[in-house]
Amino acid sequence: MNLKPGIAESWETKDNKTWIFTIKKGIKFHDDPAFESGKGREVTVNDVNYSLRRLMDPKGKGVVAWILKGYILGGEEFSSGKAQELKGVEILDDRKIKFTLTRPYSPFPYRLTIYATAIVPKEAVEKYGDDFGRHPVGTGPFAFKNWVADAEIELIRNPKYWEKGLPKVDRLRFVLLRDEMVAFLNFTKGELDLVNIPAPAVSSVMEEDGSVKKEYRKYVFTKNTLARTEFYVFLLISPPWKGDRLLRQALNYAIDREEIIKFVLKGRGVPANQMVPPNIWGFASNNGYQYNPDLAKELLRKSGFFKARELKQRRKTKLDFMRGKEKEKAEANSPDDEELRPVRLVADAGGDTEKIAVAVQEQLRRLGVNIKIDVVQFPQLVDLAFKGQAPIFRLYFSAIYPHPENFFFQFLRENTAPHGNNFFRYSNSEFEKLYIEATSISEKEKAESLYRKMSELIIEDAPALFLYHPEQWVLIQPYVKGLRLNGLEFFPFEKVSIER
Amino acid sequence: MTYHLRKFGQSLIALFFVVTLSFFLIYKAPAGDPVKTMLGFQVTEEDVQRLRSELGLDQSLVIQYYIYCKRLLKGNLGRSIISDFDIRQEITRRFPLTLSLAIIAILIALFGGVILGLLNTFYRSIGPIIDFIIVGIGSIPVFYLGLIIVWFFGYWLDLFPISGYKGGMNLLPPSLVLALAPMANVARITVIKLDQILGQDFIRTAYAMGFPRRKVIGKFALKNALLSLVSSLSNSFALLLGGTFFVEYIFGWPGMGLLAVDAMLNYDYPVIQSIVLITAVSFITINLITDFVYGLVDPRVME
Amino acid sequence: MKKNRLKNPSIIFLILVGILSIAINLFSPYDSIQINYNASLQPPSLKHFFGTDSFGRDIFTRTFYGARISLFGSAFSLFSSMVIGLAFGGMAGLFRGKLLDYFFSLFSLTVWSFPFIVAVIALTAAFGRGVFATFFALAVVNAVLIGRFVRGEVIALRERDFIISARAIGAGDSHILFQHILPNILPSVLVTTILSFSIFITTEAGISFLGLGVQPPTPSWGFMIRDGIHYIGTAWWISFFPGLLLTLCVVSTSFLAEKLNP
Repeated sequence: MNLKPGIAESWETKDNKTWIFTIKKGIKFHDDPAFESGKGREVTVNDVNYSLRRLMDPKGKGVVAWILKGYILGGEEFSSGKAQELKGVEILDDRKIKFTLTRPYSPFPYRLTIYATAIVPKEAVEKYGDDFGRHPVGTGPFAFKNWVADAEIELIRNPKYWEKGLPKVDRLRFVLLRDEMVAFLNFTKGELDLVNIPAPAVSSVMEEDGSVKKEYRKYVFTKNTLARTEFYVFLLISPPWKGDRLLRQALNYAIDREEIIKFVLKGRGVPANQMVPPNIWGFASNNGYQYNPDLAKELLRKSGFFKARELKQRRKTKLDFMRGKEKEKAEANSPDDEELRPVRLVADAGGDTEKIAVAVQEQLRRLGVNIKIDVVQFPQLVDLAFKGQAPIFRLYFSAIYPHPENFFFQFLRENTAPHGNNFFRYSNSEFEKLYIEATSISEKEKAESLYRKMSELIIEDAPALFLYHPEQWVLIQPYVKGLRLNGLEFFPFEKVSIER
Repeated sequence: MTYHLRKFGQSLIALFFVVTLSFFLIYKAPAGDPVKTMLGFQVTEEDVQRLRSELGLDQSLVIQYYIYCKRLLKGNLGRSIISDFDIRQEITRRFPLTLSLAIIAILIALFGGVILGLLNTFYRSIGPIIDFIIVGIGSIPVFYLGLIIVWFFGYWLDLFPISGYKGGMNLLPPSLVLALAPMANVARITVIKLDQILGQDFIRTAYAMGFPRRKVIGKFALKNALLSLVSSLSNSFALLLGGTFFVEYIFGWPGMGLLAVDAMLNYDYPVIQSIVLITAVSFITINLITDFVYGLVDPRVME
Repeated sequence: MKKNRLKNPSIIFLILVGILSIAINLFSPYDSIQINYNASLQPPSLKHFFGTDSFGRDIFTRTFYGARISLFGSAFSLFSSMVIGLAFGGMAGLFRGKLLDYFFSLFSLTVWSFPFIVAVIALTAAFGRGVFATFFALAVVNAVLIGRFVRGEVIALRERDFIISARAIGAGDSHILFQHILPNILPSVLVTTILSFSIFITTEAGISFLGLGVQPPTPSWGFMIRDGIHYIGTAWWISFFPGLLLTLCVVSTSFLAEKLNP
């Protein structure tokens, strides 16, 4: 995947530290009552400046400031309110804007593809205030029309879109349904044009050999592997993983990913043997975890966890034979029985994730490691992840942009939770060095080998229990033409047309 | 008059305690830091502190309570901390949706129940069967019943779209599910009351005077049973409110019940507080109205 | 009279379910949480009376294993709430201590302002999820309701002649409570309790259904219904049987309560 110029026409840099972006002419905002005449005006360099500053505005809630504040010079000071000006952003002329970064960082343009960096008009933001998120105004192929909470979101065609001839359809309607089976049924009734095939429906749609059943052949069936990794985070500062790499590796070898994919996901996935998915460059193809129960048992036996447990078990048996004062004294001297208790795994509620937890629990039980499942809602899971309140919990990382660096900044020390998304509390100086080096150079080949080295480090250190990369199985109505899905879960609807 | 005043006074006191209780309950919850949840990934301690003071969460409990009450009196219910929407707007939008469900459900319960009760009284032979059906259906847990109906009518018979909120037909299945338990109650009370009343002297007198059967039942019997029906419906309102949680969840009906379920599952404190408040207010209001109607229909109660 | 009661189909049914749930291991060769992917999603058959779920677990076994939580957990929680409610209600009603009575009334009035299930869900969420939280919340709310009821009854009773004469003779408070008041209110409390049983099991199921109660892979009826919710159109048996049993238990207790309270 490559970067396509959007509002920016071109960009250049000599040292990966100073970037000059030139914006296109004639791009207009969507029509909206926020504008004077109700008509969207032309996008200027001031809008770019305004939008990016807004991200880091100390008066805002700061939810997305992290995208830029550590990278743009003066960003930290500006976003914490200590400085009034943003040194790293400078308007050069009516089409050029200059960014100065805190250090050489080659993936910078990729960062500017994150949805939160979209260019927005000041008038609309000021008019709608806190509710701007419920009534956004931008420059894309579709303009916002309506959002009925828990029901639907409607977008309409932007006739002024800067790509000529696009979009081809008049209207997009996203129906918000809680139950995936209900969505599937609505699709088969013809009320939806595009749907994900949920696990319970797979057997209705597909034959055993993977071909589509007769009744469903009239639809277009597509498989789409996502650039997303599902894993369980090992909280590295907590027992039993702390300092016990062999244990973490053992667990990674103990998981039969194919079994989970086949029976729980009904085939809708690809085993993940490392953090970076296979469709992103930087993937270490000669490496990663495969299911190997014998190796798992061997590593487990060598692990600290196992040894400690054996010790505890023997001590406990001894205690059972003691009596009275002697027993009390011995009990007081022996440390907590942590190794004998099942490890608490936290997963969030919802069909697939709960079932996967049960499947993993069973597989680890075969290895001799006991897990207790605790199901919470997703917001609680996030909160718990930040606070590091569970030894192992479910999480995932979905590529925001098609660059491996994406998958690696969650291992940086500076991003250790609660300051960032390094929920593992991973800390490795060699990794940090590789990261700085890889992100400061532009030559793709050299960078790729560095990223691959980082992948291998992560594989070896096993800060997570890698599970799978989801595969979307999608059914599309036959009259929908031109929809090409991609791993980033962006739907290029502007290229879609309806032919009845 | 004093009766009504007393009842009203009690309601106000109850309301005050509900507000206080809901406020403190939320803060005792071990659920998690709402601020962290709001901010998501990649934030610093500074950001957290800033937001916390913005929301006023770093001040003493008493001050927060004071601010809360002040806000309430102005009509401001706050914003959701999970999805950041204005709570009052959202409730205003959803309330009619849930209300329409409830009203249709009560109507179904009333008419269906009375008809069933009448059938039972006058066709003694099938009485026990109807009795069994009534108790049986009324006992099925609401969420299970909803699932059965979805499966049976939605999948098997393919009679109606199983979710969505537009149009009349969509209202019917969830309302029906909601109505069934109250309907059983209404039916049972109708039977009991009719038996009671029809055994009384003045009925026999009416017949002796030559009134047609239908008129006797309609004019005298049902009217007298009205009081008990009103009381039963008011009790059923509680059942109904609880039921809307599940019914809206199953049918994907975007009303207050669904909002409440989501808020409770996600520990969305401001929304939970608001829902608790609204629920208690409606409940207290209904009780007040019932007491009022009771007082009108049967002045003896007011002693 | 007693003979007829024992033959009552409701009682027989409930006892049967109770026995099956405790002794399920004797009746079924399957484990309630044993995963067997090869047997997944089988419809009811001679091999699996109630079919299997997506993990190949036998629904029949899980349903009766889950009955332990749903039935016995509810029973225990109900019993505790009854005892506590009786105690507090009795004390509040009997002892004219203004302060205790006043606070109790206000507290109960507040709880009374909510539909039962709303109060329980809110408390469960507040106590942290899980089986214990759910039953604790149930016990608390019900204790308050029973307490309120008992208090009313006690207040009505204490003005009666026989109580006044007992006091005149010099009988102490606890003597009056146990010998005179309790026997008089016990029948109505018992009937309320039986009715509450069905409310308890339904509410616990509802809470587990929403995801606030039991944690996987432990079965409880509400949780199993939730498990099968996506399979309603295809593997309907996953939700159907636990729900059926739940309904039958509720129906039985309703009929039982009706018999005792015509």
